[in-house]
Amino acid sequence: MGFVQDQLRKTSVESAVAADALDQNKAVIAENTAIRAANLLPGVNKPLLPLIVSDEAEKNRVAILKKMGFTNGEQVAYFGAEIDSNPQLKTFFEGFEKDFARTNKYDAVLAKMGKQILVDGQKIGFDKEKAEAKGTGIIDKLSADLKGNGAQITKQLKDKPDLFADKLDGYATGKIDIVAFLAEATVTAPAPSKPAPETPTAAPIRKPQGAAPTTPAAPAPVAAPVAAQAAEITTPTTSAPAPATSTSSFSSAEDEFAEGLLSTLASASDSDMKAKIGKDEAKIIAGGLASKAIALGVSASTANGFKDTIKKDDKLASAIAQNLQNNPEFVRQLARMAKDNSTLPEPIKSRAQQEMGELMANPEKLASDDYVKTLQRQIQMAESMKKFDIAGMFGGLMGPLKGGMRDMGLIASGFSGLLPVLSMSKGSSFLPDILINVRNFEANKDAAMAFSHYGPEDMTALGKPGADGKYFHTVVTKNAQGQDVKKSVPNGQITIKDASGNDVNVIPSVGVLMAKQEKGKLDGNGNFVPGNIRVPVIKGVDELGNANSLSLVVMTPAEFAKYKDIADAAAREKGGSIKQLAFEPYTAEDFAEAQRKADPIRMARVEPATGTVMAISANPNLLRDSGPATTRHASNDRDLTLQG
Amino acid sequence: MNKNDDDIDVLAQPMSYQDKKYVRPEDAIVLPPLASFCECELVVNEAGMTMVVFNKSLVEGIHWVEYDMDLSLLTFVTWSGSVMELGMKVHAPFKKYLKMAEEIMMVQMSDSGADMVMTYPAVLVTRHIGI
Repeated sequence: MGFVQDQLRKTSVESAVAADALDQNKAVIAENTAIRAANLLPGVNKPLLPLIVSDEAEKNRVAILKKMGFTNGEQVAYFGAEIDSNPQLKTFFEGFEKDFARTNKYDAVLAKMGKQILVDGQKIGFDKEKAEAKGTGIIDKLSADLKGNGAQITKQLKDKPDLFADKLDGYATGKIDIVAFLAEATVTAPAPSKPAPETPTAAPIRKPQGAAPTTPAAPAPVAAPVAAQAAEITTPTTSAPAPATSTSSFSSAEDEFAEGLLSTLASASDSDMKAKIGKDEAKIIAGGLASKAIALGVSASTANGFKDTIKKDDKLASAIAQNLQNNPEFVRQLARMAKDNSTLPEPIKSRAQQEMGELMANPEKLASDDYVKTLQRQIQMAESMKKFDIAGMFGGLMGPLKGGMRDMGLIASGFSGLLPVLSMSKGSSFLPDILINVRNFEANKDAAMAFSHYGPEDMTALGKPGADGKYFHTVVTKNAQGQDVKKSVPNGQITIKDASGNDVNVIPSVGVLMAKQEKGKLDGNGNFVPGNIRVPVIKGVDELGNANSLSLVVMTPAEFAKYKDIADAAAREKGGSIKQLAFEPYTAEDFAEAQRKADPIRMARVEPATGTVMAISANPNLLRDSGPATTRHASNDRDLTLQG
Repeated sequence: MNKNDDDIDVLAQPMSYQDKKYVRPEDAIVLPPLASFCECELVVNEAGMTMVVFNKSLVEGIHWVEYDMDLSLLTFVTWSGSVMELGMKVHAPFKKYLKMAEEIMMVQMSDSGADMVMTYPAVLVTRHIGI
């Protein structure tokens, strides 16, 4: 505050506004006004003063305060003092600021909370000094209970805000404790069907302290239909826009607005989304898609044609809006992809460009439910792969798998079972391995899609607070120059090796998700070799010790056994409701059973040099060239028909 | 000399196969055939679903594939226009099924052939003049 006030006092305008700025009841708006006025003053090479908070944050704050029912500066100042004296709760609320302000999902919670805060404030005459001391008000109470229950409270608030609001009064008055307050938020049941909501980020809800002002977030690219990172997985298909990428920031206010709109919609409930998406919003989203296409390399005239077509055609825009309303998850995916800046490798990039070009040339596709649903599946797959380390997810079986996800399902159905197959190969046939891979892939894909519905809050990190109450400790290491380098490390973090031999830092955890063993295989001697294990792990925690980064790591059975021992011991020590890491093994018996049920491959082999046709084999375990039983020469049979 | 005009068939096909030999444009980059540098397999089924499986990385992704039924050739065209043949003659038994296909799944396996590395569809164009 000192620097700003010094600057303000230098001119008559500054002094006039300073009076307001000094009035604590008009904190942010007044100070911003003062700074704007100061910036208008003449001066040579005068540096512009940055705003205390961004305009967006200012508007968010005002909206939230109104929703909470505050009517004057005294109440706002008291609330600010309460929040400032509870930094952990302040951090917690910071994550919800945008949602609180821009959606009505939490209006009931805000109203109830505001009402209770006013009750607490009236008891002490809205005295700021008394507010800073620890009391029994709802803010202090919630802050104290946040420790150890952060994940649960977050989940309750996000998933069931109405229930949260209903129970708030009883919790505030002490009629129910935190356990009862969170009774329906226990994270032990199978996962919810909706994807884990993205944690919103925004400027903090606080009175300006004269600290460095927040700057507006850098604009991010508008959502692409699908996105991927280099060396990771994307899911382009021939019938839907493929993974797209953007290396450019927003080129216009229109694109920025599209991103903002998508961000708002991303946190909306399905019913809210129906109410919020109309033809105007559809036009805005289409504009964002067009910008993305241009960034990908589609011609600007085609992309602008797409945007203009939808802008001018209200009927089409309405149809698109209706389709987006019916596919809320697609809209959320677009929003999540909006900030993706990854680069696509070839040939995916070229295909993405081609298919995005097709969409730009055919804007009516966006109004097609089938098209959007197909695209949504692809996006979800790419999302889960990107989020959960695809190489680790599929382990050594498949590696990074690029493209043609939909088509692999067709391959699985088309090349196994009763349909005979004609093959000609230089070397042995790849087909049995492919079918095994595809079957595994389908199973893994389903698992990945299911996994993508989870978030870090579904696992409980088992790190313990130190003597200082913090969940981090400082580690001093040496850099290449031999200098000391300090690093903040989560308590309880351990280093494990994934199946590829890479070191991975994780915090042992237990929760809803289970570790699953991959299908094993037979070695050269016909002995069963157990598969690796896909393990959900927590890679990061916040300052409250709550998980904020969920990943999937593939471990060898030996490494997993060590990790599980550590996680189980930590869970028992913590004494929570989940006592061990859930694990689903895949045994030799399971493998034998799968073999018995394996689809036969009925294949006729053609010898490449001579065209000789070998008889159809129905061996389900057709490995590399078991040799022909009988042969037929194809030279005088131009139209050989596959016969079973 | 045949004085009967009806015998003069101006649309008659060339007398020799060499006269219709396919000539690539001079500036087209011709890559080595697929079968010359890796194991590969052409697979079709009764429904015309087609795969080409190989176990080495290609120089560039395949944009489309051309099947010349007359010459029994399968040629891959990359995104930059380079061409690469399969390296194996597409024998007669494949004709009936390959001509039904509209796309070919390009499937790259690992060196050992056990793990799938990459897969994507490429459009298949069939040329059948009838020579």
